[in-house]
Amino acid sequence: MTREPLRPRARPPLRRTVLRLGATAMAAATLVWSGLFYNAVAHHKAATAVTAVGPATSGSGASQSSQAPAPVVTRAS
Amino acid sequence: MTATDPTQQIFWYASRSLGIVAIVLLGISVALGLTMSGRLARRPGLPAKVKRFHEASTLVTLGLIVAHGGILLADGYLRPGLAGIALPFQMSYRPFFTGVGIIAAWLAAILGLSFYARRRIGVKTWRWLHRWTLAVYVLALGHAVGAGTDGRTPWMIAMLTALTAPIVFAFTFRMLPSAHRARLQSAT
Repeated sequence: MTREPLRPRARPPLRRTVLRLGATAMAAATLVWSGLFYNAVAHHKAATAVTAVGPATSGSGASQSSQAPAPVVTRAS
Repeated sequence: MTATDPTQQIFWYASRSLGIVAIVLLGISVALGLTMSGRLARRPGLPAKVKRFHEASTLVTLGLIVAHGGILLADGYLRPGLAGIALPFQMSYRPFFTGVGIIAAWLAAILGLSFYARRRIGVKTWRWLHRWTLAVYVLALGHAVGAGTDGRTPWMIAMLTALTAPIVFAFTFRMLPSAHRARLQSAT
């Protein structure tokens, strides 16, 4: 019984490597895009929520800052 | 750029993400090129793999660079126009560093594609030209830090540092006198 001589492994052509790498790069770009976009939407929502509170008036007539994210509780005397 | 509704800046975010992936792949390609020229990959079969991956990563990087600039044409927020993305220092947004990026892109295209014209221009000329690829990486780095919205964020600085460290190592090794390099290689 004779052993078959080892055949050199065929290298994948350049086109296939380019296609694989291109697909990986596009997947990576999509992931990065999702991260950047999600981050921007979260920031935008937070900024919109702050401005939506708007200038409120307390019982004493003093105006609250529109930048305050939470209502300010004043002590009634 | 974050004050406007992000849904109106989809192409702007796409351009940024393509730019980030492009600089990562450019760094990998430059590092692989220096690995080849410094003969750092010596295991049988490895140099051929490195060469194929170097060529493929260069071609994909060029495609990503084109997409990075080209997609801005669809961006209704920045509206750079064809001249803004193709000619240096014409864009209204951070003109110096976007100009640096455009110069880097043109150089990358010329130097990267000169590989396919090396028989026509001569191998010696091509080798001389190819050395300037490192300048492309330095310019791209300047563009990423200076013009990129995320350029000075800690994650971007960390990523660029991790990307540049192997390049600095491979370049330093490449610049060593050949006798010194051979001695170091035989010691490992």
